[in-house]
Amino acid sequence: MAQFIEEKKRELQAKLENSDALDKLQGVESSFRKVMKELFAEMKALPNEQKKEVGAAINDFKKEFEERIAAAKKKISELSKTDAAVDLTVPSPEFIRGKIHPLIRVGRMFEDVYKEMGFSIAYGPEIENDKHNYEMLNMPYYHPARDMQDTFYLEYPKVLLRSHTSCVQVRYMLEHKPPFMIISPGVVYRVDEIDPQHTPCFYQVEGLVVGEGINLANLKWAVTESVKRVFGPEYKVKFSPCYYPYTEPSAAVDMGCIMCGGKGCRTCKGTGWMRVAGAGMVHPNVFEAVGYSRDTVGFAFGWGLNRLPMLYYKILEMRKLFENEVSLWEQL
Amino acid sequence: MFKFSYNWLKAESEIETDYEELLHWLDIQGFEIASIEDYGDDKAVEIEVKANRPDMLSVAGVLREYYAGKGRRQIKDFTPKDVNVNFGSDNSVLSHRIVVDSKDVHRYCAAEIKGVDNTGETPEYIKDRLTKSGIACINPIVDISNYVLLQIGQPIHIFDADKVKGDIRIENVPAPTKFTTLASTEIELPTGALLISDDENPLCVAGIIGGHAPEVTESTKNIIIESANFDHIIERVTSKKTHVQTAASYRFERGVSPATAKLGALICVKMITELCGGEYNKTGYMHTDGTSAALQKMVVTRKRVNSLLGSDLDVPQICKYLNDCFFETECKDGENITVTVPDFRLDIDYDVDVIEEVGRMYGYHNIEPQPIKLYAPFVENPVNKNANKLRDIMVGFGFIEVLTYGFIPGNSMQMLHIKEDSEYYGDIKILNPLSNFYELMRPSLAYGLISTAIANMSVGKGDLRIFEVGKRFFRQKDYEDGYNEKNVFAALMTGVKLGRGFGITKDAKFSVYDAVSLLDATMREFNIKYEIKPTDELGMFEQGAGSDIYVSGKKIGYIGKIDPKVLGEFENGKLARDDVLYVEFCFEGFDETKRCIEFDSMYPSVNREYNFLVKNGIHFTDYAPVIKEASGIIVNVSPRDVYTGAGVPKGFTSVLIRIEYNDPTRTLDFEEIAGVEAKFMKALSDKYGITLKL
Ligand SMILES: [Zn+2]
Repeated sequence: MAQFIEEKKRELQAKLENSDALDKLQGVESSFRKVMKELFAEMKALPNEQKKEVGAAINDFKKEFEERIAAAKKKISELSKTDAAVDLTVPSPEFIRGKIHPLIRVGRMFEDVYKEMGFSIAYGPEIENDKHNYEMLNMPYYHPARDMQDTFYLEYPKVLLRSHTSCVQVRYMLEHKPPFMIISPGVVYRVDEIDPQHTPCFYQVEGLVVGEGINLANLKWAVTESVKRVFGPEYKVKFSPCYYPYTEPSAAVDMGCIMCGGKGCRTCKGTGWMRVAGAGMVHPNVFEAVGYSRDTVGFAFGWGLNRLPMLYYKILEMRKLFENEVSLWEQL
Repeated sequence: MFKFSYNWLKAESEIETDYEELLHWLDIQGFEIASIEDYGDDKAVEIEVKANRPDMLSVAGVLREYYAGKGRRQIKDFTPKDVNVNFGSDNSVLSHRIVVDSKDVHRYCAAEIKGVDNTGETPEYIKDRLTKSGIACINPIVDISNYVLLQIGQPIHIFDADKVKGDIRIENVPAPTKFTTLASTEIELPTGALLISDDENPLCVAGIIGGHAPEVTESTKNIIIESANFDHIIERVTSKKTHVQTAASYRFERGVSPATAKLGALICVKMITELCGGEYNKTGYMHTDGTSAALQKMVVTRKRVNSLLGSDLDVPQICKYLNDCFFETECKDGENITVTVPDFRLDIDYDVDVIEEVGRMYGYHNIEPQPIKLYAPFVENPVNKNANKLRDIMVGFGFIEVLTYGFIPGNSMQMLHIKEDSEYYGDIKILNPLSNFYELMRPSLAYGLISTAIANMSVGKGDLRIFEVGKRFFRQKDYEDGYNEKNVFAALMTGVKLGRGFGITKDAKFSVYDAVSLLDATMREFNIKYEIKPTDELGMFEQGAGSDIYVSGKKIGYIGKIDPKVLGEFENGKLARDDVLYVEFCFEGFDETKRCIEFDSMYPSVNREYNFLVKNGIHFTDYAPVIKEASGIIVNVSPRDVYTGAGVPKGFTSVLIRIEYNDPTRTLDFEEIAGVEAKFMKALSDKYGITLKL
């Protein structure tokens, strides 16, 4: 019997040494169980005086192999752990989202804020005529303020590329009666040689609110609130007297310089402020031109949208916005 | 812009001035400080003056504004006390008769001095003040005329009386007229321009620029001083048309108070006789058309002030602010304020102009923001909504948005091989472009996207997915001014779409089928059925690889592979080594209709793939319906791959098609499917000669 036990031990040991994987080890385990069954069965058949001795030998055998198998298991599982482990710090290039242009991104932030305030969005053509772009906005042909907006012409002097989106507001007023709250985002064109800070076209978001009781304090609220919602509540907004032919009273809007936090730097020419918008109460001549009563009240504002993404994303050169270096937008 | 010496302003003030206080007041009143030149003991300050405040284009004007901030309601009287010229309406009192023959002359004051000596030096203080204001010094008399312009804002013109032949006549030219300026440049005056001539020669363009003929030089002995007021409209038009802008024209086109005409003449007489000697004629000539003879009056109500500003000011406050900026006020009923506008404020036409004065004096910073209390219905803008939806879709597909200029090079149509008779040909040109590189209003976004792609390739970025949302422009005779424009979407893709690695054994590159996939997936998002109709009309696509896109029978755009020859027309175009795919369509009118989700059948589908051998020129959209017609159990026919090359006969394409069979009421058996297969294979063969590739 003892010899038989030794034989089985050797057999199992050989199998165990060959087991380098978990499935093989499972095979060893089942043969081990089979051997044990066999041995216990044989032991039962032995005379009682031999049973004790043989029983102890079998138990030793059992204990010894249980330990060996467990150790082998542990070893294999540790081995397999280091072998098959994945490096979860490596992303494959499978999922890559695209990007929206920074100008449009900031434009959409403003659109969303104004929509939340109850504004609708109005669009209009980029090829405009003198009537909508100037004349109906209280800028007759001889008005010196036309110098502020050097214009591209398709047919002189009548057909031009709009120099602001105020003409969208004119069109809107010609077709609608107050009350209304609209913004008119879009591209505008001005004769400006391309250099780091100038491009011949840029984006504007203009707003127009017409209805009973509208005043300059409401205008201040709408403009200030939109800056705070887009840029953050810590940003200050300043209004100072200004002049636009289509608004009276008129105001220039500055916001605290993003580059220096208001301390004064090169971008803000040391003032701590950046001019971001123009605004005012709509001039009665404009209301009259679109067929409203001169007593109508309303305010208008206009954001020069090129500056805002520059501020928001700290893009130092305006012309970069139209150069479309894809690797830059990928950072967004 | 107006630039002045601070010491000059200080010298004209009757009260102590404070430099910092002045700058601060100008700043909060919206007169931006454009520049400051430091001279140690003096500063030259340049301020930006908007078109409504020409009264700020003089030292007196800036001083007045400073006084407004201090609440001192009067500046000194500039009228010289010891000069006595009696201006009358007799036009023959001077050595030359003066004939004003135009309604555009509101005032014309002329004074005469005989026996001046113009050979001396201009006094230092005048030179200093002129130089700091950016005005060149010429000779004493000319310098004095410029000095008066800067001091009180009144343009002055001085004639050498000995060089004038006969009458001085001011009239509007009846037709375009040539004129040679002091600077020896020839300009053409537009019809209606105000020209001053003598019996023989044109002398000067009134209020704008002089000519050589009556020029004042060192040897000048006898002079006629003109201090006039010309209409701002004709001044503006003439200056614009002739491209001549002078310190005088700049002021006249913005507006000069007629009240300073006589004052200007008097100051000139006083200064010139003092510095150059000579005898002045005790009688002068003054033409007046009565403009602004009386000060303007208007009524402003307390209610209107507060309702426009959102303030709560009482009548005394309102009056104080107005008085501080030189308006006179009168209020008897505690509500209606009668306001008298000072003569130098030519910009005040309506009550809103007065209210702005109240607002700025009160201070915009003192107006508390108030939320809008107005109900206005929200109106959806479908173009805006679709544009944003397209952007979001494209972001999901890994595309990057670009923005390009609306104008493209004048020769871009030739570069894109778009022929003149093509409906896609653009010929809308800008009359005053930055250069011919930015001349043509784009009829397509293709130029912008291709050049953007190539620019990125030249910095080493060859695998690209870019898109743009913008306008394309075209002519339309019966529409508004003959032009129309549409909102379009365009995308370009090129290079590797799926790179080697992570299970992919070879770089997969974009092909024209991916462009179709992009179009298809996008249209699905809008639930729009579209049709592809191959065309070779659009020259920018490779022969046989371009199509028009139709929706509801209307052409909305095009799709295809850009012809490498077109790419070759671009600088660095040879960098584009891979296929460049392009799609553009107009998305106006897209309206996502409501969709229902069809629930899957309870019985399993059977999917089978077939490798068809299809003759080139036969389209999937032609033969797919033939397959579907074979049986109602065919629920889906979708292309899986397209292949040409080894094993495929020339002129054919091998197309791998997957067909899904399903019946929601039962499980299908294979014999039935075999029957359907035989049926559509026969139909395909009969109709299109399509066979299974073995
Ligand atoms: Zn700063």
